[in-house]
Amino acid sequence: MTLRPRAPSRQTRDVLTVLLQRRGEWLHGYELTKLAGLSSGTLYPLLIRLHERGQLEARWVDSAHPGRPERHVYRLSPQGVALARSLEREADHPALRPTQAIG
Amino acid sequence: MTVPRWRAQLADVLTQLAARRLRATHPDWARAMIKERACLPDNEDPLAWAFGCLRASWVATDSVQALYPVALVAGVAAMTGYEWIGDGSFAAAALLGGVGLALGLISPKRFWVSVLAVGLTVAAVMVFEAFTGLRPSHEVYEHSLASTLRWTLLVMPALAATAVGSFAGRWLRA
Repeated sequence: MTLRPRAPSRQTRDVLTVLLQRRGEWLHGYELTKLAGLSSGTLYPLLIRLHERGQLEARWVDSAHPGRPERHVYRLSPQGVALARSLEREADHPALRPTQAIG
Repeated sequence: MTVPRWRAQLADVLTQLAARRLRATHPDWARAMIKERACLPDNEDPLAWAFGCLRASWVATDSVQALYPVALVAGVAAMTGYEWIGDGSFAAAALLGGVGLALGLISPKRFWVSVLAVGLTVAAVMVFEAFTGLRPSHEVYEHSLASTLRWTLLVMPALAATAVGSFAGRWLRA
C-alpha cells in the first residue's frame, strides 16, 4: 500500500486550531494537552512533525515560578498560521481541501 | 489530590526512559519532556503523562519499524509450524489474522510485503508437500499441485487483516 499525502488527522487539526486561536502566545506542552484534549503521547510526535516542517516555532523560556525548571514553549510559524487558516477555511467550505500533506 | 510518592517516582523513571530513546534524534524534545514532567501541577497524574511520553518516543523515532523483520520471520515461522503440526482451521485462521494485523500495525509502509508473506505461507507449505511428498502424519490425503492453488485465496483474509493493522498503525502515528 502506498502511503499518499493525506489530510491532516483530527488531532493535528485540533492542535493547529488551538495554536491559531492563541497565536502570538507561547504555549507549553502541558497547556496544549489540556487545550487540545490530547495526551502527551499524541501531542509530542505531532509537535515534532510540525516543527520539522517549519510550521511550528519552539524556544526555551525560564519558568515564571522560582525554583521551577525552564520550559519548552511553542507557537505557529507564519507557515503554520497559513496552514491552520487553510484548514479552518476547509472546515467552513469542505470542497476546499489543502494540498499540503501533514501528519 | 496528592499523588502517591511511588507513582511520581515511577513516572520520573518512565519519562527518563522516553527521553533517553528520543535523545539521539530529537535532543531538545527529550529535554522538553523531562522539564514538562517536573512542571506538572500536583493534581495531574504523572504516570499518565509518563506513559504518553514513552509512547511518543516510540512513535517519534518510529522504533517499532525496527521490529518488522523479526516479526515477519517469527510470524511466517509460526504459521508454517502450525500448518505442519497443527490441525485446526479456526486456530490457523486466527493465527493468520493475528500475524497480518501485527505486521500491518508495525509497518504500514510494507503493506504488500506483509499481505503476500502472510497470505501465501500456507500455499507455500502445500506446494512444498506436493513437490516433496513429505507431509505431516496427521494429514491423510496427498495434495495435488493444482489443489494447492486454492490456498492462495488466503491472500484475501491476509489482506483484510493487514489492512486493519495498517490503518491502526497509521492512526497511532498520526
